Amino acid sequence: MTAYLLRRLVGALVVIWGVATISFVLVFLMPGDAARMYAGPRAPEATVERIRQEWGLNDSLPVQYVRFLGRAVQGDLGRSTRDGRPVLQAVIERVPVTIQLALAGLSVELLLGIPLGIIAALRPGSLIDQFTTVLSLVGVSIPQFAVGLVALYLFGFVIPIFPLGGYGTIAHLILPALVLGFSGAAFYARVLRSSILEIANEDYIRTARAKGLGARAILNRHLLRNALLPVVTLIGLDLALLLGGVVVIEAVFGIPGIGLQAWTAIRNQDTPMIMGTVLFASIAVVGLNLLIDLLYLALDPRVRLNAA
Amino acid sequence: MQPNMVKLNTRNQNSFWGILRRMPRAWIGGCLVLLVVLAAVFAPLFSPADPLQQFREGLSATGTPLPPDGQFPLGTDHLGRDMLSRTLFGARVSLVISFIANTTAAIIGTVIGVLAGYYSRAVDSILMRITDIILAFPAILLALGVGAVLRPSIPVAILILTLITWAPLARLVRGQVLSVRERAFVESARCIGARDRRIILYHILPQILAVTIIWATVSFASTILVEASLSFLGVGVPLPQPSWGNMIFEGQTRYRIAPWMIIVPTIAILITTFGFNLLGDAIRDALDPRTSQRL
Amino acid sequence: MLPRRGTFLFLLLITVAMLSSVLVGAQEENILRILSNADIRTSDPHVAYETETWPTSALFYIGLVRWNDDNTALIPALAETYSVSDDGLVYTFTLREGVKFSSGRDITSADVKWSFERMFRPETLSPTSYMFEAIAGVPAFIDGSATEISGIEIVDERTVTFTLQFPVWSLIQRFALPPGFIVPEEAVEAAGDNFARMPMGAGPFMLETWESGVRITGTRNPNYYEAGKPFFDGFEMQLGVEPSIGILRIEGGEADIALDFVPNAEYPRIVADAAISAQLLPTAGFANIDYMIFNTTIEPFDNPDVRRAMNIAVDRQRLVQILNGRALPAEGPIPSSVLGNNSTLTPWEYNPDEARALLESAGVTEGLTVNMLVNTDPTNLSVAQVLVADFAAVGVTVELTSVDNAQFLDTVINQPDTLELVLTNWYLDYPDPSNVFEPLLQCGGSYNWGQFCSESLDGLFATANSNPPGDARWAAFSDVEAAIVEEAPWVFLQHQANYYFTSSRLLIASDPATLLRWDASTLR
Repeated sequence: MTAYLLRRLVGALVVIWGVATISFVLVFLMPGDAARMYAGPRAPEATVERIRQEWGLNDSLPVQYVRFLGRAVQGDLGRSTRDGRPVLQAVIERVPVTIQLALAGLSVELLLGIPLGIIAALRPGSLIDQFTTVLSLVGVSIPQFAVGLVALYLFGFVIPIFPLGGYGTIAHLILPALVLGFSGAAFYARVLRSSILEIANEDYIRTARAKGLGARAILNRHLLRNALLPVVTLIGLDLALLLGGVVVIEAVFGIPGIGLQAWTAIRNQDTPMIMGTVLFASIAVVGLNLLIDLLYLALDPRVRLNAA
Repeated sequence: MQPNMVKLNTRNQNSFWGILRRMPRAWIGGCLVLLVVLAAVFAPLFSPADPLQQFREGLSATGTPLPPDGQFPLGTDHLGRDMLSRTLFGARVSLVISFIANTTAAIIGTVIGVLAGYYSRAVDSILMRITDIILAFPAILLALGVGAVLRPSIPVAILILTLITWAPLARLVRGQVLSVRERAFVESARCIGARDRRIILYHILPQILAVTIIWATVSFASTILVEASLSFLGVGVPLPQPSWGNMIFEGQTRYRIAPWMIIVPTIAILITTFGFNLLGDAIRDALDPRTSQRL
Repeated sequence: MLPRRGTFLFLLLITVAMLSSVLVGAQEENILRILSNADIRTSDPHVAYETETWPTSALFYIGLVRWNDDNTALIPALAETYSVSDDGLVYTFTLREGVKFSSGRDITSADVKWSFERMFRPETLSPTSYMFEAIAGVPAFIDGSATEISGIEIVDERTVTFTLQFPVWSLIQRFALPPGFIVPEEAVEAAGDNFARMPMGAGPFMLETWESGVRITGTRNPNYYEAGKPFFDGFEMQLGVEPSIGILRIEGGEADIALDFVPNAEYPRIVADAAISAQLLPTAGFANIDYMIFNTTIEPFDNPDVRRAMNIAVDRQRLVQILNGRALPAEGPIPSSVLGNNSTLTPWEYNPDEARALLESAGVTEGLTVNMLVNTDPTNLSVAQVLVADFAAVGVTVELTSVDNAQFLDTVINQPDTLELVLTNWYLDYPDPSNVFEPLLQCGGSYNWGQFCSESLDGLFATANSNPPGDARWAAFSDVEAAIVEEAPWVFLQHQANYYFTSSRLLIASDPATLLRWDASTLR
């Protein structure tokens, strides 16, 4: 068991290191340089060269990479080349914002998706079942940028219920969470529906039914708990994605999250900041995956046997 | 899962098609897909205009796009081009890109998933670590990085889409292989001395194919949308060539003066993805009414 | 398996987490509410150069001189008087008596000297210091062989002189720009690495709070040099507001002004709406030109006839229409709002037939395919697509390569030899024609990506530029412009008119140096 955990932990570290390394090389290969973006198009080449020297941008890839790794291991991610702020501080500042948005979006997905999924599963082929299918397709087919703008226009301006973007109160979070959750909710509903239908045919449910238990009792006592397992997996993956940042939603609604930070950093070739946000995103993904696996380990005895 | 599960390639094929044929979903989905494919193939026939032509009469005096009318059935865009023609020609680009990217990703994902699932710890852990790295990698950075190193073009857009699409499938396929591997018929094949290649090709792959096909149809929708975000990043289909993605990109801030610039390509995407999803759904249920797609 | 009530609890927890919220402070009536799409990276006037960072630094700082109310002449600001010697080599400034930083400390001529020296210190990494490189002693100061800039002399407490290596007649205009703003030594020392976000100067406002990526707030500077200004008790700048959402907020009365220009998608709607069209504020000065560069070192663009043909192949009226009437067609490189432009130039006539004939006689046959580089700015992309269609009509196939700004700059600056055509824009730092010719068209100019080079033109320019401001200078520059148009190194496209959108209650002026004149803002 301990060996298993250790192995998983090492694997997780390898993945994070891999992501960091590939990102670093990609950023290095990208045409354009941070010094030029800092100085702007009008600065003379001599000024830009001075900035490059100052930041060590003229060093070779291995030298820069080793320097980055050496500092990162000590918890020093350097300073942003765009605004000179310490990267770690900037990332830590944005994390709570991103977590709030992710949780808000996730709650909409679950509050909408789970009831829809259950209803659809109880009446496969029914109107509501068809409805969730259509909804899930509409959800993934509509560009979020446009939906965000239109939602803000309608519910912030025409009918001013919500603030016009920004960040700070619960009211600011509702609209982005709805736009974010709308595309995901129906997906949860579909997964839950499939999962319920599959389990409904398992022997123990049949036994329960044979014992004369009512549909409601079966659903509550036996079905739902097991059917929710894949949903838990999905929550993990989904949350990891949301924590990595939702650039478009953050940009439209003016939410200072990690996604927008990463996007700005990439556009400015702000290597330290890119690496900071990449590291955060990959740690979120890997950490959550690990957590889900451990959860499974705790929940499902069969998995526990395999792991040993 | 049970060993008597319906398979794609064996004698049960007839019953697969039989079930499929009886499903209205399959028909509706199939028709929608056919419609879109036909529209793409015969775009020059159906288009009232050249998709690149900027009509002088296609803009109001103040330079705003025109709403749908007689000459421009779906309105015009900000340069006075005919939206209907752009949407039809855009179908070609979007479908081709999504199709190639998805197919390639499906093949890569399946191969890596099967190899990882079938072979020993070493192969498995190397391949899965690579998959994990791609999964944990921010897609924007991958897209921008690759797009910046290579110049933006349609092949580069396909490459980027493939790169960010294959990894989840590899995960999924590996999981399926792990469970199939231990099944009785694979065990028996191994006992009678079948080689790995034979076991993979004849016993494991057919079981996995269903998952792959379903996954590929479902991911079609998201691929088309991701193509739109690539345009947003400047690494998508180069303008002025229309794709549904870059049409949305050009229209999205004009939602108040020309909402049709967003609505038209969005509905086109909706029809396509709806068709593919219905079809995918139907295929899944025809293969096994109880299997669900796990992601 | 999940515990019995696990799901419910889990959902509850998430909901509670979502409900955890912070309350925003109530809006005060007399606060100027500003919006910005970009996160402000710096308020340091020696580091700023973007359209959002210049007005931001002008909230906190001011320089020796500034533009007058109708933007026609420079007037003293922190200085009480200034003079330029007849040979254009010595600039003398006398500070106002008792003029103070917002901290209450008197500003002396030593502060002026320190501030300009700071701009040239390597650790400042100033991208705009080149504007003052003509000051004597700067090269020695930069390479470290001198510890001070010999050309900046402290005459007494209140008097300071700048001596130049050679006359630069537009220099006085540069003193009004953020790089000429006065920065106090103690504030820079105290802030250390964080000076970009801890501004303190002599401008109309003082910093209160700076929440990176969220908001910046400030209060009125009680020590401002003009009594009774600024009108507002303070300002609140919200960051990360998408431009079209910013318009909605201003329309809805939630904000007063956005640092972003009105987006193309919104402009026609606002102009057409009589209720709000008066809230458009044209940017003063900020003269600009949209142009397409030819790489003049490659065939066939080394031939002026080909370049002229391409110029008449473009339908400028239609471009203006595409820009919703928000532009003037360009006849030459110098905007008509800038003195020294040639008002007698005839507009380029749109004539595709003649263009085709010209191209054929120059040996350019059907089938010429070239690449045009453009960044991903939506307006540039629209203009580029119109050009592609116009050129196709005369038999030249143009393929568009649109890349992110970082890659765009890298390509044009570091790999000019790979270029064929480039669509770009130039905004003048100050309204003097030398700011077009020097960087963009001089042999080896820093922004001359098409590598255009004509020694006779350079000679004409040098002569014109040696004239002090006055009729002789403007007449000479008007000849320079005519000569440039004759050579047609670019396709001259249009001069855009950009607008700010202000709330119905705000009265504010636009300024050629800082874009917005904060101390002139009041409630209607």
